[in-house]
Amino acid sequence: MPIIIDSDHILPNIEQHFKVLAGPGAGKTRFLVNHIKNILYNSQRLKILGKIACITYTNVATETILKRVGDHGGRLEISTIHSFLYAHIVKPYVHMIAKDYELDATNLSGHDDIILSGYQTIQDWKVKTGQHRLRDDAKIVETWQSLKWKFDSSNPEQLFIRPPYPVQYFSNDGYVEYKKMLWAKGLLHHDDVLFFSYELARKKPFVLTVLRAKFPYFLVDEFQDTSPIQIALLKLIGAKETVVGVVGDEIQSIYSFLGAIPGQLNSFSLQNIADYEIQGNWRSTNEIVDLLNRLRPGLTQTPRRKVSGTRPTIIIGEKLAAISWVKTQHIGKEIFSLCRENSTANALQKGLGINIHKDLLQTLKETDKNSDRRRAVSDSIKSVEYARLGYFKDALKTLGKLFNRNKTIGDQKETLAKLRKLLDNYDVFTTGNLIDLVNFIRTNIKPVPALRGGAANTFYTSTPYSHISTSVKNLYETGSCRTIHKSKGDEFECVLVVLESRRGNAFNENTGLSFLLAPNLKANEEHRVNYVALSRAQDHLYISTPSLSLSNEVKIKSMGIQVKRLPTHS
Amino acid sequence: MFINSIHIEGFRNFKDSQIDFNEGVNVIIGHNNAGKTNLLRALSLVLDNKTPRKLEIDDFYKNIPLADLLAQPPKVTVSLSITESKNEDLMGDDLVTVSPWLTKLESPYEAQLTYVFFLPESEHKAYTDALAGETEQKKAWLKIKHDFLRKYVHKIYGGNPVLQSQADSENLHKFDYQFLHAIRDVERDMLTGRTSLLREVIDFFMDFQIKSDTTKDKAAKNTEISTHKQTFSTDALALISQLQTRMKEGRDHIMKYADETGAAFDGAKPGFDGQISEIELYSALKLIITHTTGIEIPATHNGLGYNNLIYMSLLLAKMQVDTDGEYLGSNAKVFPVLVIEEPEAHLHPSLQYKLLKFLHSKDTQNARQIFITSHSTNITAAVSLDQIICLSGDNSGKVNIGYPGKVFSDDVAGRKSKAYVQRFLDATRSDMLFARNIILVEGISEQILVPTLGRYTGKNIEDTHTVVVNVGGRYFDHFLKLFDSNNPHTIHKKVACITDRDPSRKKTGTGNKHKKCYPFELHQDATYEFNISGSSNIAQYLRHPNIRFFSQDPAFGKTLEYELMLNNPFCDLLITDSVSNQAELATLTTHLIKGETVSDVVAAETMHDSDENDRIQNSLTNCIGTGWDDHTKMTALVASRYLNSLSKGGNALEIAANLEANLQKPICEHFSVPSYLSDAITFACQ
Repeated sequence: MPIIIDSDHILPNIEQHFKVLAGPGAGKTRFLVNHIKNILYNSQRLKILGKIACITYTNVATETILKRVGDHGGRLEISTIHSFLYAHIVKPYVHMIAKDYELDATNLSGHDDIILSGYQTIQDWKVKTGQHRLRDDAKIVETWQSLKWKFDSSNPEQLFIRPPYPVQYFSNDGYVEYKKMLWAKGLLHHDDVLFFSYELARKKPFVLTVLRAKFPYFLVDEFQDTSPIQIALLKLIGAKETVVGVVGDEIQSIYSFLGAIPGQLNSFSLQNIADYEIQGNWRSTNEIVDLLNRLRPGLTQTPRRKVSGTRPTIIIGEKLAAISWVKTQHIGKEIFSLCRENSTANALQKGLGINIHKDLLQTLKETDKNSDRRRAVSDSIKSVEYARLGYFKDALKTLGKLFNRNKTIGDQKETLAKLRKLLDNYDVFTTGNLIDLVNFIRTNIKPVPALRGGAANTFYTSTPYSHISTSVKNLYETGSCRTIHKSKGDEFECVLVVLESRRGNAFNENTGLSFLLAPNLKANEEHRVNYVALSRAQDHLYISTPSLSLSNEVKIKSMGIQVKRLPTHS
Repeated sequence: MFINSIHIEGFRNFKDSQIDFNEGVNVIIGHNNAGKTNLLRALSLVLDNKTPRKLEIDDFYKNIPLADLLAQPPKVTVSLSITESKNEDLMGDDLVTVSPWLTKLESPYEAQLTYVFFLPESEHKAYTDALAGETEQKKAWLKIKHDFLRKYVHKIYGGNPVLQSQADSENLHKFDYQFLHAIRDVERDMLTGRTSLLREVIDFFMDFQIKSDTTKDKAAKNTEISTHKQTFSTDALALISQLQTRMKEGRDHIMKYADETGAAFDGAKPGFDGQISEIELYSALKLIITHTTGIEIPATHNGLGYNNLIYMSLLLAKMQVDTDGEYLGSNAKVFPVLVIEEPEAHLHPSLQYKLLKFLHSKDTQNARQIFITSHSTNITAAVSLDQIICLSGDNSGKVNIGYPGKVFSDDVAGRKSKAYVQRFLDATRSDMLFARNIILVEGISEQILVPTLGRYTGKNIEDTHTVVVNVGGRYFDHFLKLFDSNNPHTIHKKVACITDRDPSRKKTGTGNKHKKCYPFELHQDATYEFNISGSSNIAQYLRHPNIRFFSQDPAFGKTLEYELMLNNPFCDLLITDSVSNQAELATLTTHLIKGETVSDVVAAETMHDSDENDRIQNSLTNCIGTGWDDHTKMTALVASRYLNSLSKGGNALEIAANLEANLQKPICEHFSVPSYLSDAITFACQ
């Protein structure tokens, strides 16, 4: 059984592996900050260059920790696991094993979500793997997109690459061939960073010695979202010298689609590890904590703020109307809307109530067979949208893909000039359908082939720019409309959780509201996602649903939730 | 970790050379212009963050064929290889420092830092165009200097240089490169607490008895130290207020004008106040030297040599400061390198020896690796062979790098040779490491006489940087291992070995020993076995690239003095005061002049009665070997008698004095140098 501690607790022994279970608002960031300070003050093992590694997944946690720890004098390295592994293992050492994987290590420049999709690439791959019979190129790209490195259950030391079960389109192996085509260009997908880190640790275990020397202390926040490969690496690092500490909440595990396995926090162990649990909630009002406790029988949090506020409210009606109504309840306050899908969040952010439900950028990729045109359109959209949010670095990087990846000063200048054109003429190509953008690109950005009918033409002439722009990922979790996944680790005074139909299906309130009506957080990831959403709220919590039957209304009310039906205008 | 080698390409006199280093002390020796300073400069290009890394036109290796120079812009590459020490704690800061530069991912790890100074690829076309058709090397270099040098860039790559990943300066700064120039102004750098070196050192060692007390914890130490600081400022305050009291009247007088000029307005009143912090008072501390007599003198009045030593000790103290993680936190240095150019400057030989012994000892571990260039045999005598690196350049511009410690094979014979050479290389004999050419001789007589005989041969031993080293017997083999250019790591010099024939004989049968004999006794008596030295060595080295053996004629030769007389039987110069039997020798010479033979000498009973004289006369009378005619026998008689009239070793100095004096005479007496000696001298002094 874990020892129950408070978030202010100072661990007496910094040289022991530990695990801390902490529900939402428990103050695990506060705990981490205290622990980091404890190490900085008392460690005898940091010497001149030793550092503390702190792995977090959210910018919020990073900023909070940095702010509270203060001037650590370069002793603290906070980053995501991918950046960490890339900086300390892959970038410096992958060239030593690159040959075995046909990786061009001389040309590495970071890692991203790249998926090859060019016509020639697909043809080359078919030839290489002897699969000429495959006809559906879009399906191939879709499969490539879903590839994940996993442990081979028959050979637990070995990683292999597979798409998840239902996506599988071709039985023949050829995934590694695809990866090699990617690597030969010096390109790395995020997931490949994990792969190469693991391969290096396996083939050149000395990298672990180096890592241990650099980081005598290794802390991982949000451990429940860690993937099996990351855990394997963590165990290798923690096998000697380096002290590992993990913090997390099993019930906030919402990343199984990235490979995280529910239950891994509970089962994680290292030699002589100390287990702790923090049971308070410093974030939310008594009413909100009460609702969270109802949904989660396994943990009863004590509301440490001891503040009584408004009761959680469910709003029945259209989501834009719901947002407007909540605004009238809290004049002058920012309302944070959390929703399940990225496109909805982006649409809401732009004040649009549309339900796109699909990634139109992906549709573009599948529809336009001309890779030059497809890329020019897609990268221009992403780039100009990033730039309008102020992320110029990302905007230039994205648009630079069209101009020799910004390799020379000349390329960089050209990218900059083109980005200016896009920004200056934003209104010209955003009010209508995508065809306006295609024409704009052809004359101003890059001479791509003209459209000549067909599916691509139909797509470009019938899709409004405003719709596709909602598919652009919000890079930095800013703005008041976010996906639940991106809101993780954050907290807001006033939260509106937007429930809606998924992937174009009609909204089924029994499914959509099952996390309230029949909660089973342990087994159901969707329930956990909504639990995470609810638990972001500090003072005011609202849930927006398109419909609520009277029978369900009774159940909901019995849980202490208020019900507000908005008038329908039809 | 330690720097285990440097690879220099295209820099000054280095075309393409790799030099291996030891952990700890490295003593780099070599004659002038061999490249010692250039080697240190190359090291600093990578490690020293204080000196500029931009190079000048004369920093390029200039001996490039014109065609190559036109085809490709010159480039400088200096690569340091760093490797794991024995028993290194891998959890220490060393591995972290070099981790981004690793080239071998297993223990013992290896890392690489590469400095490059090059013309960027984008300028290459302009370069080849501009230099096309140039016919003169000098003009080509001038063009490079004026039109391209400014476009050159320098980079330091970490790890495999092919990947061109730049070494981050944060890690580079973990190396501390402390360089003591040969021409150093220690007085400027050291003498008072006003200079930063002394101030830093004082500050670090202030309250050191508390800081280093292992029985107290950190908090207790801090309290104690701050109590001291408190006391100091209270006391300082008392001093200040003392001054203020004494200034009371004066202040008003000084400030009288302030009131009148209006500087004091709105009731504001100028005054004097101040604080004295400890650090400010450090500057009041001066380095003084208290002699045993109790007299104190400021260091400025100290001898240069002592001040040099004090400076070095301060530098070592500073290195201790710089690497202290407690004191400097993450600003502390991880790998201090101490580089001293010619530490012998201003130092008496015995102090040189002492200094090196100290640098060599465990106390100096503050400096993780030490590089010393030197011309001092006292310094080489103080270190082990393994620590010596010997640079020498030949006329073609190629740099030869010798490692005296590595030339011996790792077996019983090799270890024996190494131990022998190590013991043997005292301050005088270490000369052989510095000279360009060497003449190895067996005894003191040769050592004394060869330089003089060189002058009779028309060669100047000193001007050609040739040394004559007495190896004290036939121990040439041990030393030749150092110089045999057919083997790796050796020091390539011309080595002439001069050895005596020393004929001997032994009664056949077991239990009998070899005893010296005369050349004319060789192969005369069938009941003896005979031996002549030197032949196998001469044959072995006959066609050797840099080593030769020289000895007398195998049939007629015996020893140096014997040979001198054989070649100069009428020469008075050899008959020095301490030669005995002078009258008898004079009579023998008269016999020789008259053309008489051995039988005449026997008949005249010139030689007094002794077993040895009887032996000489009988042996000569009975000798029937080839070439032994009457005249030859007669000179052999004179030479034998002369040899037996010498006191052991005492005569060489007198002979040398006579020969030197003879050279000064307006008309000097003829003296014939034995051919094996003139051959040896000519070989060595080319």
